Formats: sequence, structure tokens, C-alpha cells
Amino acid sequence: MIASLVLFGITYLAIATEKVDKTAAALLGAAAAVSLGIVPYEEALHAVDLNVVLLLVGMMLSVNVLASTGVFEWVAVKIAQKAGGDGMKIMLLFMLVTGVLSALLDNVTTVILIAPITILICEILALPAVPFLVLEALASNIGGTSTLVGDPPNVLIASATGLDFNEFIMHLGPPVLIMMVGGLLVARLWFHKVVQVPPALRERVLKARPERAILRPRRLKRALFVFGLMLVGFFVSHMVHLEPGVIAIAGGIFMAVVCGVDLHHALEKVEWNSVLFFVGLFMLIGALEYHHVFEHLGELMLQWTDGNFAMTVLLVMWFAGIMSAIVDNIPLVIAMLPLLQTMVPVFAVQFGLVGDEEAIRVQVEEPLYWALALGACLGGNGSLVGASANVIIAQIGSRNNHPVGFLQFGKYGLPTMLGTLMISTVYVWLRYL
Amino acid sequence: MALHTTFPPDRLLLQASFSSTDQLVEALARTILSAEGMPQLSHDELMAAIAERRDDGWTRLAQHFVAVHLRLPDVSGVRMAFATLAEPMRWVDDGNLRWCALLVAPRERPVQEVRLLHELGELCKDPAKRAWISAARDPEVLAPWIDARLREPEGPITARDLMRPSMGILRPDTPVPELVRRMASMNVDAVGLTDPDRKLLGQVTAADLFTLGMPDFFRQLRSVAFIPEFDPFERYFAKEAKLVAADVMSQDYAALPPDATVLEVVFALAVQGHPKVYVVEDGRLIGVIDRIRVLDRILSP
Repeated sequence: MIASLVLFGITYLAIATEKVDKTAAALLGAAAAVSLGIVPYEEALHAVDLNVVLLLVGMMLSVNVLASTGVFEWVAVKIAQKAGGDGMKIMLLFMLVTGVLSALLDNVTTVILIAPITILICEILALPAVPFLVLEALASNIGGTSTLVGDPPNVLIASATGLDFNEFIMHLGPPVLIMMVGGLLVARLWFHKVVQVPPALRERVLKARPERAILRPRRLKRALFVFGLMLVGFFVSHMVHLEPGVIAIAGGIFMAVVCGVDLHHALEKVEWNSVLFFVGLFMLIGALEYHHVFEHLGELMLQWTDGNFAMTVLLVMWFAGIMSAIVDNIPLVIAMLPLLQTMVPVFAVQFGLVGDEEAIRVQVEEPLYWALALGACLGGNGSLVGASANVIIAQIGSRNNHPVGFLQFGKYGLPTMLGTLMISTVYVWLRYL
Repeated sequence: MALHTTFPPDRLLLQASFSSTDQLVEALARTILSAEGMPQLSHDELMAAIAERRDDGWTRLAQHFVAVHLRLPDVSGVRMAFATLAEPMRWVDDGNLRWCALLVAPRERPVQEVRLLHELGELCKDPAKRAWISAARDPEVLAPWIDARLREPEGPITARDLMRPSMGILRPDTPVPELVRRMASMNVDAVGLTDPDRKLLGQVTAADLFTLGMPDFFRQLRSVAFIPEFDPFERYFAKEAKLVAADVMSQDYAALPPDATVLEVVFALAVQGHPKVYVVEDGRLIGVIDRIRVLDRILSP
């Protein structure tokens, strides 16, 4: 067990400090775990959650096909035009659209698609791009919290627990809605002085021709149709007993075929780096599970909270939130999921629910998992390195002479994280505890 | 690769006088039609083929030397007629013409044409030989001499055969605006930078300059056609305008020795994606080969 913990610690440190490419670190860690005999190869392979892998690949495929039509440029320009070139309206609408898109796609992909066109619009209107970029990162993390596909932690939680697409929306949608409204109001207060656009510059946006952004109208219609089918599939996945990963990969490939996109070319655009990062982490966590590390940690945590369920749930949420602000929330969630799973039987016994699977699910499992999802997704807003979307935004900003500094991001991100975690605390307390 | 050319004295027109370049080319065409191994062509058909290639088949090999060259089917080997002029003639708008060659090469073996053009160009480099050819009056003396030189080269076509001299020298301390102006005037997308001894130091390409000037977000967009009114490029490129060539030059260039094969040249241009191949001998830049030159020399009919 010590060897597996040391290896995991070293790998985690390498990932957190970014001294080594995080995918390389995860895969080397997994390879070391197998080579050193810490975990049998079959066990490590068994720990790889193919549902997550397929979901990621399928979503990346479909988003790339959609993006190739120019639809995201169209959305952004249309918004800017509808807002009449008003800087504040554009900022708030971009924030809202980023939140919604993050819920439907995933937040990292959303910011990759929305940030370049945001910078273009800002340059056209002589607006400072940094506030837009920061708000989009924050909105992407908030919006992504509301659905199964919106943020990688949710994908991991769904796959590990069997919670379906509808349950994510039903349980995480309401607090996210409140957070988005609150976020828009706060953003208005924060930036109302820096987003003024002279009338002459507004004309540039008013003269824009959004229809010319759509490069392949036929492909767009087909892609949207297939994407609609995928969403329906996610909604009914529980009823038809299909894993979201199967729906996503089938939808992604079907979209590529229907839209006449060369599959070989489409697959090249999948971020295999991210996919393999997940694979490596799963194998490493498999090594820890093999040595019952999480059972021991669970016992420790329960000792600390004195077996108080409400305290445990809130501790999970705030621990995940604060940790996610410091380190990547993906390995954190992968590590915490088995930990929570070890606590479930303990609370089931405590509540006298043994044998009643449905009651255990509703009264014990779900509060823990929703707390983890809220904490891990929203905690990412706490710092520039807290979520992949923030890092991507910072990279795009820096490459375009709009650097987003660590402190600058934290100035807005930390209050956002604290505010949204407080809303989550009230929500979880009122609804589940 | 042997050139399979024979060059009898009756293919030479020495110290000739013509009233126009058209008349000169007609005379060369009549001369070459009598050569062995030529396809059954009428004079008019040959003239039509020459006229068709007027834009890309008339090559200035040296200051006073133009070669008219074309490829025809069913020619057994490269055939050439050669004229020296008693008095220089006006050639197009620039310079005086003293020598003119008409080359007919087999369409199936285009490299032979390339090779012969190169060898003819080489003949002009030595001032003593140049003077001797210009002064020659006896075809029986000159024809074997040329024939011997054209027959000498054997082996595969090399970078030396394909290259052209580097057009002007650009130094690393050249300001970027001046560099860009020179590139535009030379109509090239990439230039090599050298020191005073012609040692190749690096390369600047138009693509590199665009990359430096254009913000990264443009590369992430699918199109910009939806924005009708936005011209930020002076601002974007303002930083580049203050730089010198050394600031923007890249070490990622293809340099090959003169004896590099066509395969190496094509590999560097087509597979490795270099815009140019720099031909370097003893560390000095002696010529450049660009993609279109290779295609033109080897592939165009």
C-alpha cells in the first residue's frame, strides 16, 4: 500500500507542478505501477473506465464537426449584433452563452471555441478582452456543473455511480441557474466601467454579416440534427439502458459520417492527450483501490467528522472545492470517488437502510456525489490553475497579447468560487440534509 | 544520365545577322528540323509549338544568351541548334542578345532538357570561353567543342542542375520592412540570410512573418468573412516593423550540397515542406531551388 501511495503522490506532484506533461506523468505513473508489480496489469486495465473514454471521444468528435461549420462564429457575431455593439450586453450575453454551451458540450471545448471569436469581437470594438475571457472561464465552470457532459468531474461521477443525464440536470441545474443569474449581476457590477464602446466602433459590429460565418449550411443542418438526437439519447439513456459513452461515441461517428467528414481526419482532431491522461489516472487509481487505500482514507474521514453525515457531505464539497482551486479537479475526483463509495455502507448502516437500495441511493449516495460534483466543478473557479478551462483561457489570452494573470484571475475567481460554494452549501443543506 | 545528343556543325549558325528575333528563331527551327531523330514535323508546326511555349519555354541562361526549349514526343534525344550573332540584337525590353539556342527534348525524358539547359548555362560562366564562342567563325571547330562539353556530364540530375543563382544577398541586420520590400521585388516567399562570405545563416519566410504579426486567435477561427470593416494589420505588424531580419530568421531550412539528387530536393520541398532548398558548397550559398522551379524544369510539358 505504501508503494502505491508513494507512486501516486509522485505522479500527482508531477501533474500539479506541471514539471512534466500531465499525460506523460499519468501514463508513466501507470506504467510504473504495473512494472513494479504494485498492481496486476489486468486489474489496472479493468480500472480504466471506457464509458468516460468513449464519452470524451464522442463529444470531441461531434463538437469538432459542429465547429467546422462556423456555427460558433455565427452565434458570437449574432449576439454582438443583437446587442447593438453595447459592450456590457455583449459581455453578459457571451457569459450566458458560454454557460449554456458548457452545459451542452463541455466547458473546455466551449472556451476553446468561444475565446478566439471573443477576442476578435473585443478587438473590433476596442474592448479589453481580459474581463471577457475571465468571465467566460468562470461561466464555463458554472454552466458545465449543471449537466453530465458539462465538466469532466461530472462525466467521472456519472460513470462511476450510474447517475443519468436527467438526474444531473434535476439536481445540479437549479443551483447553477441561481449562480448564473448571480454571476451576471456581479459581472455587471465588476466591469460596467470598462466596457464602453464608442458609437463609431459599434457600427463595425452592426455591419457584420453573420450569415457569412456559416461555411457549410448543409453540414450544419445535419450536424445539429444528429446533435439533437444525441441530446435526446442522453435524456432517455437511463430508460433505454444505454451508457452516455455509447450514445456519445455513436453520435459522434454518426455525425461525421452523415456530414461527410472524413472519419480519419475527424479522429485526428480528438484530443488524445486528454483521453490518455484519463486512462493513466484510472490505472493509477486502480492501483490504490487494489491496495484498499480508499477504505482506509474513508475510515479516517469518518473518524474526523465523527460519523456526522451532514458534516461529511459538506466536508466533501468544501474539500473538493478548495482542493480543486489548487490542483486539477480531474485526478482529485478520480481519487475521491472510491473514497466516497467506501463511506456509503457505513452511513447505510447508521441510517438503518441496509437492504433498501433505493433509499441508500437517494439518502446517502446522491448527497455525497452531488456535493462532490458541486465542489469539484465550482472549486475550479478559485484560481487560474483550478480548472482546465481557466488554463486554456489563460493560454489563449497570453498568445494574443491579453495575458490573464494569476492574481487578476483570482481577484474575480476566488469570490466566485466562495459565492457559488456558499450557494451550494445552502442548496445541499436544504435539499438533502 | 547520358544526354544522347550529337551536335554536328550544320546545327550552328555563326556570326549570323537577323532583322528580328522571330527571324532568328525561324532560322534555328529550319536548322533543327534537318537533324536526325526529329519527329516528322513541318516548319509551321514547329514554329507553332515554339510560339505556344513563348511564356515559359524561353529561358535567359546568361546576360546575352537565351535558350528556346520545348519537349516533343518521338524525339530520340536532345537536339539543338545554336546561333551566335554578328551584332547584338534587342531582346524583349532588356539587354542585348548575342547567342541563341533552340532545344528540342524528348517529352518522355524531361530531365534531359533540364540538364542541357544547365550545361549551356555553365558554358557562359567562364569569360574566356564566352569570348571564344562569341568570336568563333568555323562551325567545324566550334561544333565538336560544344558537343564534347555537352556530352561530358553523366550521372543523375543534381541540385546544381536545378538551382538558380541567389537573387541578391540579404544580411541579418536588414530591417524587416526593407527585407519585405526586397522579397516583394524578387517575388519570393522565402529568402536566405548570409554573412559577407555568403555563409548561410538562416531563412526568413513570408509565412514566418505572418505568424509573428498575426495574433494567434485568427488561426482558431473558421472564417472572418462575417466582419466587413476591420483593418488592424498596421497595428498587428507594428512590432515587426521595428525588427531586423535576424530577429525573425529561422534555422529551420533545407540546405543541400550541389550534388544532392533530385529525390533529395523534391523530398525537402514536397515532403518536409520547405519553401526553398539552399544549395551550399564549402559552406557558401551558391544557389537556390524553389518548388515551382523544380516543377517547371521536370514536370511541365
